Amino acid sequence: MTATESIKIEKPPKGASIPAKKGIKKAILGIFKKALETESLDALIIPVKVPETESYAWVLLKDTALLENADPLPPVMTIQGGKVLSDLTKHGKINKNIAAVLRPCETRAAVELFKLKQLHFENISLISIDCPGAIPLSEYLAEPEKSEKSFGNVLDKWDGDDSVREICKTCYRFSLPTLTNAPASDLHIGLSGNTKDDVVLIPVTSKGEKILEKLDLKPESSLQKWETKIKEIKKIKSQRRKEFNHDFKTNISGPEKFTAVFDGCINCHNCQSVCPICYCQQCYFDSATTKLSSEDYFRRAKERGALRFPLDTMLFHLGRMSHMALSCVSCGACEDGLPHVHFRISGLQPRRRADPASIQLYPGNK
Amino acid sequence: MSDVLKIKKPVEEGITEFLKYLLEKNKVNGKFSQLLPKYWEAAKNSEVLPSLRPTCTACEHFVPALADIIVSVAGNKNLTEECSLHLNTSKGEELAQGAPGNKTTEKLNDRELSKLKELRQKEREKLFASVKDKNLGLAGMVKTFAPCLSCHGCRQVCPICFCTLCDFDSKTQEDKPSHYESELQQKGGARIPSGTLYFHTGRMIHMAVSCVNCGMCSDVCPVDIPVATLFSMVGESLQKLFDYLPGKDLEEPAPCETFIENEFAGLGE
Ligand code: SF4
Ligand code: SF4
Ligand code: SF4
Ligand code: SF4
Ligand code: SF4
Repeated sequence: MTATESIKIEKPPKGASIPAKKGIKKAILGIFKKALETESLDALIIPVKVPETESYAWVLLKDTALLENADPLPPVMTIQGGKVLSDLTKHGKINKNIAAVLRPCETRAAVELFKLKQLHFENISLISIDCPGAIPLSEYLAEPEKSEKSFGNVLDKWDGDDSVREICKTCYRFSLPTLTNAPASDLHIGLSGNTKDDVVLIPVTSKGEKILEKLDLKPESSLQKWETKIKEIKKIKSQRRKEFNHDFKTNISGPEKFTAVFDGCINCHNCQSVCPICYCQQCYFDSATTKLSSEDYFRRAKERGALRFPLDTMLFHLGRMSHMALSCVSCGACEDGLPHVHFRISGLQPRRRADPASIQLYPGNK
Repeated sequence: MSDVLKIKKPVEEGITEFLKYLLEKNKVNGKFSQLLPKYWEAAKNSEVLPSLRPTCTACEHFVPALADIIVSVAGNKNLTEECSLHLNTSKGEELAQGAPGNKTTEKLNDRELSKLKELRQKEREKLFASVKDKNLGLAGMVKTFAPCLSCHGCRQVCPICFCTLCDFDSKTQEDKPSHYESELQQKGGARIPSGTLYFHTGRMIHMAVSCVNCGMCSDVCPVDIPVATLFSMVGESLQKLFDYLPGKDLEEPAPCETFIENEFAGLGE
């Protein structure tokens, strides 16, 4: 029994290949449409472009007309998908047969939230998709058209474009963890590397198998081409991650450098509120416990000569880190959620901010 | 002990000159240091600096009327020669008693201040007109808040939103799966998280009458929604209804604390 209450099938040797003459996204949406029409699924959770705006929202849908603007792999990550699934099922199981279409870091967040008892997996299937990364939210908002275009490039060339977020450039968990390890999803959509002729649906669990069965899709195609490509990219990204971690360590080691990373922090706690893993209803660091009496403030000011307001920003960041870094899925939502005030004040290139994501403790898929 | 660079100029001028030097010699880059000299120039000449935050270009209440000591900046032509501290209350006077400097009796430069106020009022009209049709009304609000991440950062940084646990972050506002099931049934689809507009209109109802137009909520928004402009605009129209200016008077009760029978009796007739 796994987290998703479905049986892991032995190394899935094959996948169902879907022709993608009109583009991979159209091909994927075509499958989803069929799944809804044939009632193989009651509903889907998928990002949808909000009409007349430059934004994507998560929508739970069964009306296939809503699929028109859906995007299984939007250029940005707005709200972390794991969080969305938790919003839906935190208070109990849903009585509909639903599939959620998520990026790999989002499926892993969902799995973590399940372990933390913030999510019910009954009747929910996870569909993951090979992910080339996401464009920084601030860049997308500033230049949506340009960003859509560069994301198109990213999808075409996979690792040939550096317009994705820093965390994505070094993300080596952008696909199925491994074909033999614990499943992070039930059905995986393999974008077969740089050939755009087809996508391949890979059943990972019995739940995934069942979806394919209902759709009358037979996993008969070899996965070799896809696997080779994924391994290649994984190697490049893992290497980059290593280098990044090395540099990062040099740049933040020691209390001085570490505090400097947070010197622009305005204590808005956005990083915490957008984090899928930070699930507490009321964060300890927002609670009345952390508000001291004025005598306390005076005493501290006296002891140190001065007191910076807001207080204890470092305590918040270190505390948050120790609370959740073990489950951090390296999704980058905390960096995307930062107020732009950081950039505006400095007027410099966006600085690399504290990145708990780079603490490589996540045990799920080493 | 450290080296000291002494520039024989009043401090603002000295800093401005030093920054200019750094810029000319390409020793620093970035907008902030470029903007700073312009910032002081505009303050001195009672001008509106377009690169300020939108709600700042449109702020009419830039003289802190309640403060004990007011540092004269806006429209102060002598900014680079002297520093004028207006002792506005007896507390201010007490604090300044015996402090180095000359004491004179002066008024703040009313003419310059009203010039700036007028300019800012015009900006305010322009700013509000620009958001009125686009961002308000049901369709406008839906579009405006479409990219909202529900991070509630705008609420977190707002000085007026003081609740330790906001109602919109509480369990009461979390939907049960059955809610989504019935949304699916009735509408064929539902946005998750739900209640984004509900949060914003709810927050508006809770605090707009005390909104001080400070702009923090816009500054913090990771998706650049003009939250402060909208709250300020709605706030102003509400405040007019109650003939109330938030933060003006310590003794004046806030409208939400005041019960008047038959208030707005005409409404809803
Ligand atoms: S971290 Fe970036 S590249 Fe990795 S799965 Fe998430 S969005 Fe995709
Ligand atoms: S989002 Fe940025 S400014 Fe806000 S609390 Fe986190 S680090 Fe600080
Ligand atoms: S800390 Fe940041 S990177 Fe890690 S799970 Fe939370 S939002 Fe994602
Ligand atoms: S700060 Fe912006 S994104 Fe966050 S809740 Fe407010 S309007 Fe929405
Ligand atoms: S502008 Fe108004 S709503 Fe926004 S942070 Fe300031 S007081 Fe709060």
